[in-house]
Amino acid sequence: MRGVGGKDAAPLMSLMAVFEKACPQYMAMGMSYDQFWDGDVSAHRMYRKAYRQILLDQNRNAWLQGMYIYEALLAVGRYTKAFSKAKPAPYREEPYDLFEEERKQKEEQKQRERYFRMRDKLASFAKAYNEKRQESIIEEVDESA
Amino acid sequence: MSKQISFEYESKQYTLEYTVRTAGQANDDGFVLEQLSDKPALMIPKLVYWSFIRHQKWITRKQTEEIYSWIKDKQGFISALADMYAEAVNALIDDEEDAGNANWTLS
Repeated sequence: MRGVGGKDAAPLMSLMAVFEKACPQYMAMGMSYDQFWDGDVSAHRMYRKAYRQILLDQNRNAWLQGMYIYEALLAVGRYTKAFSKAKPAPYREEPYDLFEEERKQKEEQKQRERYFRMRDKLASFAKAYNEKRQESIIEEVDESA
Repeated sequence: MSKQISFEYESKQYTLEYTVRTAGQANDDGFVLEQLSDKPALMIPKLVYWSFIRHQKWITRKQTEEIYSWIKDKQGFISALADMYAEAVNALIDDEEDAGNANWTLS
């Protein structure tokens, strides 16, 4: 009979074998041997998350480096052509502003807040002006009567 | 922090906890979580015994069975141990899906 299984079937790999296979991977993430086997089990997840963050940062750094190299190649591209009289463009003087987006968002938020403050001020001014005008009209009517 | 159960029995303090090692050893010993309700007589003593080992290496199976017979609310106790075992086994399962999926709680 083929395909006998279900929950009573022998597992393909024991849990211990799976753990033993995973242990070196966790040690590469910075976990100690004892921490892996006998430590708090909630730490494994944190190590995995931290390692994922490291990989993301490394990837970002590699991309950034690629961008600098790309820009440098563009800067000297025309100069390296045969018989070209073009001079190489200067390399950027400062590195990329990594927090430019964040700064822009903060500035936009400040502008929004300024706008709302101004709008509220104008609204209260208009209200006070209208009330005063209303009072003076009533006074004029009373006087004329 | 991983879950632990602490209690005092015959003026001795006991702490029960599952780690990756003890979860693996319980599995090697024949414990299968999915069979807990089908074969309780076989599975419960193993689940109980291996939960002691992290903090009480010297303990024997007979002693753990004695302590278990003294425990009140056995169903709640086994359910808590099963949770602790599952937590240890799931510690190594990837949680990439955490980012987008909705969280839910059992009430």
